[in-house]
Amino acid sequence: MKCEQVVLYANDELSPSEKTQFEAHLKGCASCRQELALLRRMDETLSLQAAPQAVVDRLFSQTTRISHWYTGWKMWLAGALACSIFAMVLVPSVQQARMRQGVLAYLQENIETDYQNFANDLALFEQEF
Amino acid sequence: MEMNLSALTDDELVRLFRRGNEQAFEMLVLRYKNSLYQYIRAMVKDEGIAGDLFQEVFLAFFKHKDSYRAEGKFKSWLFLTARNKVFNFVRDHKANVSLDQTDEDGNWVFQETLPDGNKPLLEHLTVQESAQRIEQAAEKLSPRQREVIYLRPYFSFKEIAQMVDRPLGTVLADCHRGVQKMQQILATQGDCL
Repeated sequence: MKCEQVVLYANDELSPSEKTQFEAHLKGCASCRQELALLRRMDETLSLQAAPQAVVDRLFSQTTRISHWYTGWKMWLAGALACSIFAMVLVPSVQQARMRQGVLAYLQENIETDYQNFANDLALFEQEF
Repeated sequence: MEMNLSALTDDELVRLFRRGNEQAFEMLVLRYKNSLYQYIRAMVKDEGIAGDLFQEVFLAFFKHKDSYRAEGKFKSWLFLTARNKVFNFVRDHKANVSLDQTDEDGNWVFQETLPDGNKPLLEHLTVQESAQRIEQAAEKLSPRQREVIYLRPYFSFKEIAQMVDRPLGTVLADCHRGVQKMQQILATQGDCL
């Protein structure tokens, strides 16, 4: 188990007492010292390796495109919503106003006709009686 | 007011991004791009595929940020998503990398395709040369050894054990044996560290 602890030691995951014990073991174990050296070198190596900038740039260009598409879609949705509100609220109110005007005009026309009919009937009535 | 995004935690950045701040997303990418890319590349052994899978991982988060439910564990979520994507890629491309081998726990294992021949002896290795030799040696490890070795700098062994769903002792043994095997490979090639 002692030699397997080298990976925990490299990751600084041993308790203080385990660390002291392992350091004592390390002095007499060339294999662990070599393994620790390789682990340290690997850490150095990994810290120097970066993701290619082209890969990161490609990711950001895709996210920008998605954002633009999403913004466009939201604007389209807002437009569609506005049209729906217009259709549901404004159009019926215009139609209602037009209908009201039509009814009034009809009534005006008919009132005149009715009044004329009434006047004619009255004249006939007066003539007869 | 200008906000210092680099000082924020992962969770704070995730919250900001979910509220529409895309600079918070960019900060998360910049924070994990190197470690995530190294891990994926080590697992698939191909730069082009690694680049594609790297993008898929971050795009999955970008597109589905509202369904993200891993508060406090963004890094683990990121690497687990990458692990699943690597696994799916290997499963879908059996012609290139076989999944025929499974280990004693029934976990997936890539089939080894080792290049033949020894590398010339290099007496004085620069950091870049050393990086290359280490990378080549790591490619010859079993996938589960390689996986632990590449996760080790970014996670504790306990976290790795949870991620790969194997006992802590097994994960420690995989790492220890993997490093020993790399030592042998490097010694065979005459590459002294």
